[in-house]
Amino acid sequence: MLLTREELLMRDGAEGDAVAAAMDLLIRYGDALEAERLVDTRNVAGTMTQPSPAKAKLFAEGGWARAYAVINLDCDRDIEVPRMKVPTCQLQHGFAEDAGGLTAYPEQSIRLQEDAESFFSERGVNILATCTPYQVGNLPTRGEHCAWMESSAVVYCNSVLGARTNCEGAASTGAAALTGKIPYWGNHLPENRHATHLVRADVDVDGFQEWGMFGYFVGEQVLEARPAVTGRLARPDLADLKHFGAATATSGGVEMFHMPGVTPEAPTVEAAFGGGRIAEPITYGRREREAVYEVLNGQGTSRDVDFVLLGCPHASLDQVAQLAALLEGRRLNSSTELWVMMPRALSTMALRNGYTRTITAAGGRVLTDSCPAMSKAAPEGTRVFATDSAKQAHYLPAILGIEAWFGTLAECVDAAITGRWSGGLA
Amino acid sequence: MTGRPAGTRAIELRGRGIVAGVVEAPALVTREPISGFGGIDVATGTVIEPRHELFGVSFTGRVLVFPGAKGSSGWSGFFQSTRLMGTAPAAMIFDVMTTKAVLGAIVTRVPTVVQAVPAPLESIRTGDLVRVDGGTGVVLVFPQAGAAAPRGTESETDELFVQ
Amino acid sequence: MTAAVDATAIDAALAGFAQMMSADGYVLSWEPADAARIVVRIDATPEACADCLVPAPVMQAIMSQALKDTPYDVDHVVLPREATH
Repeated sequence: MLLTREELLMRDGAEGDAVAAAMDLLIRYGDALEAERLVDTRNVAGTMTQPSPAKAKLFAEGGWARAYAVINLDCDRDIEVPRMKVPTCQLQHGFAEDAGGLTAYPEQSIRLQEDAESFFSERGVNILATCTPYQVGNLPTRGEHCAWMESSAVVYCNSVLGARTNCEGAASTGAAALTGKIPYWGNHLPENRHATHLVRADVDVDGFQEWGMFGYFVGEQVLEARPAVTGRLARPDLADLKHFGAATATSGGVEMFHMPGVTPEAPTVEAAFGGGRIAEPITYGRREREAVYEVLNGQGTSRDVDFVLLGCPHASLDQVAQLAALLEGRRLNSSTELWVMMPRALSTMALRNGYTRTITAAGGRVLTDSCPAMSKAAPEGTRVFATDSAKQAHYLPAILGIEAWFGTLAECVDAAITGRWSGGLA
Repeated sequence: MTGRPAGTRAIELRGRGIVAGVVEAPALVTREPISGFGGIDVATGTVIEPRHELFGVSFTGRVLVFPGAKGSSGWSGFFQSTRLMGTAPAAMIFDVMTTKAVLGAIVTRVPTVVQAVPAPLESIRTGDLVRVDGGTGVVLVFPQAGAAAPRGTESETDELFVQ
Repeated sequence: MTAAVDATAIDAALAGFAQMMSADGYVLSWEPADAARIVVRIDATPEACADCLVPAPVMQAIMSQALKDTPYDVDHVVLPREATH
């Protein structure tokens, strides 16, 4: 890569050893990618506070500075963690105090995370603690170069907001936060953002469940390529786009999609392909839709539901309001738990507007910061869970060894109240 | 039996080395992309994704040959953890360049060669002894006795025969 | 691979010239063009002495001379718009 004078001086220690280590990582990373240069970024979304066994060991060896050095800079030296150079936020992490005692998730990890929050927020990391930073004020503008982790956030950032990020990791975001630089590669280049595939829905895609299923199909088909999607698509709202993107990033590795008429970079299919050849469409019809439904419900046999999990990606205030409306005046089955995960910033609103009271009065819980997949924990004794999230249905069986049902919000609420799954494809 | 079988030609692949170092170990090959989060268990160095063809198989100490990374952005962090826990693969060989896989190779700190020709997935079989040079980008494959030779160009490497 | 350009050495070599420019109201900056050459940029401040600026080829020769003990050389010089005639 060709470095600027400023970058060379950072690499050579002009701004301290931690910054030098950060530049060293960015150079190794950028050279491996064959990036021509670095680009300035003022929007980093990474992970510093999430507990893990490896991190706990490093913390014991040398505090948060050691953990940051190894995990966030790939550096074995003793460094001091300076203030973040550019606006940096923490994505989702482990369970917080509000989930204490609800699962086998170690109390130690909750305390360790609080300590980490204190250390890193002192150094300029905004503890948003959500996989949806765009729902709680981090809204990059069109074309803004970002360095984000979290595959569902990356695809939203690129596709829905028209900002530019690759799917970064802990070390690259840790280095970006201290330098304000990230390799100019991949999604940062305009010519790398055009569609490569075309997927056409020949059945109606309308509503949260359908958008998740369609996304799961698209991801399976295109893997890490860039689809343009058309066809019988109802106008999606934020939640629909959030679920769609997360699903494409789960079954595949999609970081960028175009939805002509909805997403900002392509008003037409022609524009999505950058004026180049438009691909032959991959079609999503009745059979494909049924097949996706079977896959997402393929890890469920027992219909006795122990646990209902909502809010993946983290729920918006509107989604929590919808849940409250469905639970108004009703009580959960005594042997079924229901959780909705949301960003802490929005939970204040949920409380203020009475949604939390309605949900907890029914026996459910509104929790923040994390989710069962991230924290690898669910209510004790859970063997069968139900969810409206394609991402959670995909991951949680592997992570917890439990069975999964996937359906609509209404079907999930019904399962929480009756204790039985009776969902089915409409 | 592993080791360089006498009288067998090594198959040479040439790619780009992105993490330097030289290592020789048995290969573990999959045609399916590998997931980090929800895809591997770092304590044991095994694949745990339910429908994966390598489900339950350990990659510790093996040359991991795969098309590329998929799934969550934590891919690099998960593979870094295998290094910290002592369960890392011996080397990585993959084709599809993504930030996830590239950063993952760097922080796992194992010799890694990308975009090799002839195609690794056509040239290497699970169990073959593979020598990976992450500095030069050269991969030497010593097919194990009994396995049919995979398609791929054979190089003039008589001097590498082990008697 | 990223070249190991020694920014500190270049700064030191050009320090004298940069100071002279500064006295005349100009700011000198530079960026690498590749592993061995730099592009030098001269910007005018409001106090700049318009008659004090030497032509680009002369400036380039002076800076090449300043860099002679380093492994680097000047690729080209960018002057303020007003001084290009």
